[in-house]
Amino acid sequence: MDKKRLSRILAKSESTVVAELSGKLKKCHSIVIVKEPNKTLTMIKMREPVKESLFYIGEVMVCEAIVELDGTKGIAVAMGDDFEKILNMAIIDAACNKGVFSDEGLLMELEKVQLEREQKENGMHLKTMVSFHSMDQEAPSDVSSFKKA
Amino acid sequence: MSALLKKHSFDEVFDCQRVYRLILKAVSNPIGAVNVKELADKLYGENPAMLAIAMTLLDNEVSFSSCENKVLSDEIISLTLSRQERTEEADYIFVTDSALLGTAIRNAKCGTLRDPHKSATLIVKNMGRHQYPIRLFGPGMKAVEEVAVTDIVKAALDTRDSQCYAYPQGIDFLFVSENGDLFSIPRRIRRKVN
Repeated sequence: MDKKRLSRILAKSESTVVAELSGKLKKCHSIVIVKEPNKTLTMIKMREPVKESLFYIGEVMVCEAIVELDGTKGIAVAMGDDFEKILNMAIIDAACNKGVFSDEGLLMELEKVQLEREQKENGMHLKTMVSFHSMDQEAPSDVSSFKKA
Repeated sequence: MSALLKKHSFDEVFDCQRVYRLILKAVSNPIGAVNVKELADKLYGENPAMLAIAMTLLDNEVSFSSCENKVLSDEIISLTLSRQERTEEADYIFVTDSALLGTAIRNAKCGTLRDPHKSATLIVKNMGRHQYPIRLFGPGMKAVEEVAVTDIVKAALDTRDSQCYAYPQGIDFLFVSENGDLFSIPRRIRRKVN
């Protein structure tokens, strides 16, 4: 599983679920904290829709941590200030790097649930969206004739 | 969280500040040694003093080169998130292998006349006996001082002088030994030949 996907699933999951996943790893492997979970600020990049140029919309508080699992490093960064969760995410990342993470199935299930919830939410938003398309029809059909004049 | 072991107990704020003060003292009093052992012991690995210096001076906006020491560069990256560069481009160059010192000095960037600060700082691992007497003078030293140095320091100065940098261009040295002794030879410190 690629890192972007793993990080996305874990970041959206509940802290207790992540703790459960890393709990198993904590039991069977030796884990050392290289960088304790700590708050930092990071710039958030956005693409504006008109000219499609990139810009910084602002800063957001994130948490980062680095751990070592049996000598292999793992890193996690996520929004918020849940230290415990970040640490557990870093442990899972280290396990993935080492290739000893076995709960991929569980992650897939989590992803599925998250996706469903998101789609439902998006559906609710869509209901409230205004369609500007209908207004186009009120405009004269042959716009090009104006331009020539 | 408390159940897990920590790899080091070096504080990113307070300990870095103390190391910074010591480096500042070393640079403003060339050849005068300060000791960073107490702080370096909080870190790990083969070169804890170098890691302490790296954590103090490096961040993600500067680059470094470890002269082919993969272990050291991995440790520096994970501690400081600094980016690794070729020696020719690096802002800080860590030399642990004295065999590579000459190449590192020759490749180190010396800045330009307009931007002399865009030069490299070399952090060199110093070891061996202090057996070569040299005479140094320059800002920060009262008069010409004679000191005994190791062959690494002598070789470093020989190579630096053979580069014939036009001041204010040049490179700065920090020498750090196993027992945490740290001293500096900035670019304006010159050798007095008789």
